[in-house]
Amino acid sequence: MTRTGIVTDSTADLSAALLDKYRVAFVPLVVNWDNQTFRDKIDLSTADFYHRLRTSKSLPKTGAPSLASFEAAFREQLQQHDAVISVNLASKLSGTYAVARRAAESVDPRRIHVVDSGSVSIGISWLVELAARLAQEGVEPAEIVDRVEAERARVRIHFVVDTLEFLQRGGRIGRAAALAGTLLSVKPILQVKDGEVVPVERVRTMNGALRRLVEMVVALGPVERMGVIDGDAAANADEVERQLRMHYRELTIERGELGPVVGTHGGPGVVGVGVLLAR
Amino acid sequence: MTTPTDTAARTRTRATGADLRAAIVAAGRWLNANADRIDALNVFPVPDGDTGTNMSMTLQAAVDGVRDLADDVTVAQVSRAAYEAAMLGARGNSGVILSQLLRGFAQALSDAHELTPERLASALVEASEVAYSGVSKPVEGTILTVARKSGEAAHEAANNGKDLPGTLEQTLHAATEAVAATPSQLEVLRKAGVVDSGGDGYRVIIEAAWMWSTGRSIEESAGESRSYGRALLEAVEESTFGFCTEFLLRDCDMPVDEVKTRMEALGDSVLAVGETDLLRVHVHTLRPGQALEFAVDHGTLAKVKVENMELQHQAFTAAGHGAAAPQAESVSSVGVVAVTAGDGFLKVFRSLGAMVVHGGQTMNPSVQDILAAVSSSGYKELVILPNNKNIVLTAHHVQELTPHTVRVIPTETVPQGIGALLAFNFQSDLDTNVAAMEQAAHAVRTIEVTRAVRDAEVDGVQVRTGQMLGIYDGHVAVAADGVEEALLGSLREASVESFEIVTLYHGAGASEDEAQAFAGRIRDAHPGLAVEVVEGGQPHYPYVVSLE
Repeated sequence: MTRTGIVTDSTADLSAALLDKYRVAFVPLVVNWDNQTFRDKIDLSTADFYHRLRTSKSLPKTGAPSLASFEAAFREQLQQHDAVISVNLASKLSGTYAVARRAAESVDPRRIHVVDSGSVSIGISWLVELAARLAQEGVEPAEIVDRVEAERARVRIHFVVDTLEFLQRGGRIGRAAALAGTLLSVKPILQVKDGEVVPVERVRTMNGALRRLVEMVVALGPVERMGVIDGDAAANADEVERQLRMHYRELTIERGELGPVVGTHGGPGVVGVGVLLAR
Repeated sequence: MTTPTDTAARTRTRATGADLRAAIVAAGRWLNANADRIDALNVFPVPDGDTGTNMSMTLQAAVDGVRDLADDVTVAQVSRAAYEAAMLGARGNSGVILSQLLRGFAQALSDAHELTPERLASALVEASEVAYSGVSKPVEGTILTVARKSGEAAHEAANNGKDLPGTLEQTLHAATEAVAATPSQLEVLRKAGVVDSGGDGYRVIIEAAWMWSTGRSIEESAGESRSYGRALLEAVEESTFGFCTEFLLRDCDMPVDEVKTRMEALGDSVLAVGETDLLRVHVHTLRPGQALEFAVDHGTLAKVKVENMELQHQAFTAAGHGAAAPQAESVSSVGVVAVTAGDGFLKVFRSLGAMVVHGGQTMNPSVQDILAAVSSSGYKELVILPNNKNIVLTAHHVQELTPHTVRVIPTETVPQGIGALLAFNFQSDLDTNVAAMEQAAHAVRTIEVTRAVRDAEVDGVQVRTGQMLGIYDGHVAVAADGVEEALLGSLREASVESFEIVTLYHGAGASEDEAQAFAGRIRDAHPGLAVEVVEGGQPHYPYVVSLE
């Protein structure tokens, strides 16, 4: 048994294999829809979510996990480990990090460390994986926190949305609001940068936007890891993966699906590429 | 008007600064009277940038710049003031070249108290040289040729001992011959059956100088013709802030550069032209009182003009520009200024985050108009999208006059400008953006549909007055009797099926319904193509189409 247990939240988009391998605990955010509350990825699968999103007249809203759910997760981890590190969704995008901090305060602030990933989806999952691997190697919790925080600067996520409508409605648009209100139909390209959604470019067509997305990623220089993520846009994600492969023949291109909470804010049709820049 | 006794020019060999001032005023009137005729010397049979109007308005700026100078002014001061004012007032390519001619003229006379035939000749030669060097690819058969021939003739006349009227007469003779020869030098002129309009504009200026030197009067009424009224109308479109404050300062106890620095502390668009004995100062400031107080403290304040530009500014901000600027600044460090006409296009550019200067096909903005938008933008680094062939040079001249770092993407059509703006990257620096925007502008194809304003043979197409023309990237592709044929025919010529997205911007006389109907037909014929209809609201052109 490792000294340090790892906790994250449901927006990390970790593969089940990874969750299992490192026994990472995840705390679900919630989706409120038609007076029902669903725990992200537990009560509402990603496939069901997008199906419902495309057919439902009403739109979902999201919420941070409850204080109690984090407290419970931390307590459970502390029964098996000496310390806990919780890596969470970017604090500028969600209250999740703040809730985790409060839970840590109430449970055991000295033994529980909460890290702001400054990212989302695959960007969180890479940091979680690093933390879990270091924990398995027996690295001290404080050093794990330092290493994860240092790694954060190498994570980049660019993504295309089919429409800005969902980001706007959810209030997560931030400075990318500069892309809104365009009188021409455009596919906006955005970036998660320092925990915020920022505008990058506008392209007239989805095909053009996907090509541009690949160009932008290629322009980032050497990368250590790469993943293509999508919200109910597998065909477009396949196309991006195909184009990326021509540039990165040696690299394993990971794939991930944006779950219900992230999907609520991105809407259907999101295609993104996350990279971990080479050192 | 003047009598032979009250000016030195009538002594035939010497002219004072006051004489030159009077000659410039006369030239302004005469060019204005000829503006409509020169406008009609239009190669392309479509409504576009009018040379006569542009040159006349540019020279009018020079007239405004010299009119208030004192009678004891030197030739150097007058020519300098004329150039400085024309530089800011320059509209269209011909206006910019005229301002360059005045620049050379002023350079050659920078130490002259009086004008002699020799000094006049060397000034006309230098005018031509500066104008040539200001154009990246000089073309013969244009105003440049006329200016060169004029300079050569003046030089020869002065060498042969001609007096001022004699020198000007020989210069005018050469200019007239040079203008008449332009169709033999330029195929497009010959086909269109016209002489070069800019060249003729220059000839008219020489003619006015000659008429003035011989005491012939130019009818006062000429000053009230159409062009001046149009200039006033356009001036209202200028978008800037605060008060346009201008004054003349005599016997200033401070160096000119120092005055300039002090004015720059109060506002922008600062000009301080002249010498300490007579200084013309121009500043856009929110505190005109402080500017005038400074003037009173440091010299004798002569003419004062303060104009409130706040009303225009309010219209500007109400339309969404001002409110967007501070927010946009935190999003990118690079601003974009676009020139466009038509409510729809205006909204499209604004919705994409650009600041807009009014202007386009038939209404070319002045250097000052664009400069004002740059100055009030809140950005240190900017990209200008002229969106018209005849505004590219004007935009380039803004670069020389502003402390901001300004780059011009030479977009020649509005769709090219929109294409460039769409390629703008919020995360990139100026250089990267300029490269990407230039590339994007090149990738956009443009079709413009308008009515022929006269018979002509252009690009191998016979055109009759009143026909609808489909112009594909600046070349007449189709001349047809109706809009439909002109539009659809041009799309065929352009191989529309090879593009991904077609945007129909409907303007003058084309309804949204009609545009939607055309869009439907294009979609039916090419199911793979995305076709979008957007209001452009552009004058004179029922349709402007982008192919991407």
